[in-house]
Amino acid sequence: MENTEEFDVKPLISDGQNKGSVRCALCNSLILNPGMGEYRSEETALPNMRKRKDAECEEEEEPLSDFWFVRNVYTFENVGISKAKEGKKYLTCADCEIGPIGWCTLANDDCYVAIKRVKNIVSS
Amino acid sequence: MAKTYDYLFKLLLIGDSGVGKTCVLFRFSEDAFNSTFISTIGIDFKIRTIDMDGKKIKLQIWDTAGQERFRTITTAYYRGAMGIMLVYDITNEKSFDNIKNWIRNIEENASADVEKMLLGNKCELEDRRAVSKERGEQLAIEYGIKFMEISAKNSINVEEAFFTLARDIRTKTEKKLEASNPSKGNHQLKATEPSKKQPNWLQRCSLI
Repeated sequence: MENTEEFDVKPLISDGQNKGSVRCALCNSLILNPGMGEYRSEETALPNMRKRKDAECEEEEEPLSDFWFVRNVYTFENVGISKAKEGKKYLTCADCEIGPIGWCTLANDDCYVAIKRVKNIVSS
Repeated sequence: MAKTYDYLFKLLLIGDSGVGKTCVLFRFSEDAFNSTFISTIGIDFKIRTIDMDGKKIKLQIWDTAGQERFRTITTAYYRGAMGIMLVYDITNEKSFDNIKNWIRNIEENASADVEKMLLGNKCELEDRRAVSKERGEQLAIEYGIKFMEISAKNSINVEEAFFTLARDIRTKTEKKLEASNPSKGNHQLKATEPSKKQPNWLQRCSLI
C-alpha cells in the first residue's frame, strides 16, 4: 500500500467536499456518501496498513497530507472505530477491517479519512 | 449540518468466547485484512447503516472484545444498549447452556426493555452440530425473544438478523413515542399483536 508518487486530489473534490462516494480499496464496502466529507490538507502520519503475517517488529508510519474531514462517526455509512491509543482512535473498513484508513478524536467527533487509503469513486 | 440518519441504535454482541461474535461483524470473512496495527489495539465498535422503509438507521455495534472471558460484562458496557444479540455456537453445547447465564447477566445490568435476539452461529458446520435447531427455538420461546441460525462464515442470515433486531427496536421506540405524545389523543399503550408466549414482554410492558 506504500505509494510515494504524487497524486492529484483536485478531480475528487467538488465545492470543497468529496465529489463521489468513498469505498474500501480492498473490499469495496461503502464508507462515505458523496458530499459528506470536507477536504482538508494537513500533515499527519498514520501507521502502515500492514498485514499481521508479514509484520516486522517495528511499526512504521506513512506521512499523509490529504484527508476527508467528517464531523462525527455517525456520518459514515459503514466504518470501524478502534480503541484509543495515545489520544487517538483509528478508522477501519467495517467489513474487512483494513486500516488504519484514518483517525478520529476520543469523543468520536472529528474524523479524518486518508484520501490515499480509500477508493474515491468519481464518475464524470 | 443536517442529521444524516433517522434512528441510531446501540447494539451489543454477547456470548462465550469462540462462538464467532467478531466474525458476525465481517461481511465477507474471507477478505478480512487482519492489519497488524488494528488487531493489536482492537476495534471498539462499528457503524453500519441500513435502510428500512426509506428510513436511514445507524447501528452502532459493540463486540465484548474478550471481556466475556471473565464470565461477566460490566454495567458500563450495557449502558444505553437498545438491542442485544446473544450468540452461541451450534457445535458447542456449553456455549448454548451459557446463554441462560448471559441472559441473567443482562437482566442484572442492562435496561429492562432492551430488545434481545438469540443467534446460533456456524450453521454451515452441520456435521459437527451439537445443538439442534429445535432447542434453539425452544429456548428463544422460553425467553420470548426471536431466534435465527446464522453462518457468519458464509454470510447466511447475518444481515437479516440485524435487520430483524433493528426493526423490533424501531417498533418499540415508535410505540413509546406515541404513548408519550398526548397530542395524538388518548392513546394507550397496548399490545397490537396477541402476545401468547411472552412473559418477558409483559413484564417489560408494565414498566413503561
